[in-house]
Amino acid sequence: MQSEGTKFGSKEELTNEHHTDETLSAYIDRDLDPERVEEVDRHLHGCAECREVLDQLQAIRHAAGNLEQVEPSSATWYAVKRRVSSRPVRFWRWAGAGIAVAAAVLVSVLLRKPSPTAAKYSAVTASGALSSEAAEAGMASEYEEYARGIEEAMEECEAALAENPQSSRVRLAYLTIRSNRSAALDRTASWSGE
Amino acid sequence: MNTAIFAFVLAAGIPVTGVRELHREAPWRPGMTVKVMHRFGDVFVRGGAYAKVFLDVVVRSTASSEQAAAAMAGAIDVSLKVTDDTVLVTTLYPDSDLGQDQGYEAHLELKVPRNAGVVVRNSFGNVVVADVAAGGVIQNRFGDVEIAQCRDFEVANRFGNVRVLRSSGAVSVDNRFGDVFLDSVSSQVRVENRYGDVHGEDLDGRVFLSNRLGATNCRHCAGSLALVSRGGEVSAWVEDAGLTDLDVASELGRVHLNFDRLVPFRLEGATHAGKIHSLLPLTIEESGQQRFVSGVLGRGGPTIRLSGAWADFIIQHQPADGKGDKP
Repeated sequence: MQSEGTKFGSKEELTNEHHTDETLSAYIDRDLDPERVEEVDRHLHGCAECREVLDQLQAIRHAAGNLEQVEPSSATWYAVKRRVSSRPVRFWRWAGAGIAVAAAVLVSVLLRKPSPTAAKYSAVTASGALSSEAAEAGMASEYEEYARGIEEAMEECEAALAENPQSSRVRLAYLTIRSNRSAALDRTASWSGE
Repeated sequence: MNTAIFAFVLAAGIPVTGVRELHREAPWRPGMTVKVMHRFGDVFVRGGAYAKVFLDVVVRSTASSEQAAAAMAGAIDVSLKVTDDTVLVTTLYPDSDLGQDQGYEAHLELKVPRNAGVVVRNSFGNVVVADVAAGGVIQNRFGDVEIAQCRDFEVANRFGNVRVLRSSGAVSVDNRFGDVFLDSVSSQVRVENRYGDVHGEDLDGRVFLSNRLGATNCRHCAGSLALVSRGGEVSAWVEDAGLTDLDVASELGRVHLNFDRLVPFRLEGATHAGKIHSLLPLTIEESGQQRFVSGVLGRGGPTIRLSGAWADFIIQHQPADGKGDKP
């Protein structure tokens, strides 16, 4: 640890408060302004607990970067597409980070209280940052996939009806999916606040 | 009057249905798999003390006249081909373009030896498999799937529900756009579902249930149970010490953890941006947006771990009869 009066300032200037996971995540992402970075640097120099949290966040990012990326489709309903495209660019950085599931997303939450749950699920998840943007990105991805599935199913039913026009099974499936599509549009619109 | 109605029906061109029944048999030897490739109809497979594979087919065709309906039904066939290790059942539909007033479907019923492996690929119909002990794979679209008294089955279904009853071994279900029901399933169970609910009852062994945009409920479970959910509520009951481990992870969905009063347990949990409600003697702490819960009651009992993101935890005494304390 540096002595008093050096680059990292006096002991009194070192904050006694641990930094939140959000701050440390932003520190890794270089999303803090220079003064804040310096403050975090000073704190990390004297706080083993925060340094451990930082190491674990960096390990999660590295693991997430090695997992398969799931790119959102551009072919989706107008309501979903319009909502997503209106988001700032940073939104897409997390939307492209893959599918996030609660347990591994929560690794950074559980770091202060070690839990076997986080380690158990870390292999099946991608995103390591806890932020509302990441959660919204995850849900946007889910609804896009839902919408895509409905569209593909409708196309399949239409092709089947062309082959077998009077099939009661195909007609029932087609009507059910159209009903799902309407419900999904309503749900998507309400979720996007429209 | 009847003549007038009959004439009106003919003039209106109301579709006429033609029906044709087929029966086939094929030899079977131990180690052979029965493979069914079908569309536009239901498939029923029942295992039993049979030495052969028996196939019964009901074909229904629709056309504007009796002759056309009969001709179409006659053009539909189901072939039964035997190779070294497979009995292959394939439904053959006519290639020609149909008029808007025409259609067809075929329903297959198979009786197979109980120790035959079974593979079914179907669309626009339901699949039911019962009493097959040698394992199998079912892939279905636009219909429901049910397996009962079976062992070692893999089910992949879209746009329909899946029911797994009184089955064991390695059971896996991959379903989308529908619900999954599991009742009395044991050994190794894995369910991945989306856009529907998952209900598990009397599950035993190593059980993993994952669901998105739907509710997940489990009760009367034993062994090791893991529930992972996004965008839906999770409800789990801890009723006795038969349950050794319970792991619940939920993002954007409330978690209801329900105990019978006398059940011992060991619990720890954490949730980000969620609340924890409980009248039980647990320790609840918070740090910024994170909330932690922990507690030990009695000796032994399951180890329970909860993790949540934007997920509230409701931890309460709520036995199966529904009477209990609510926080």
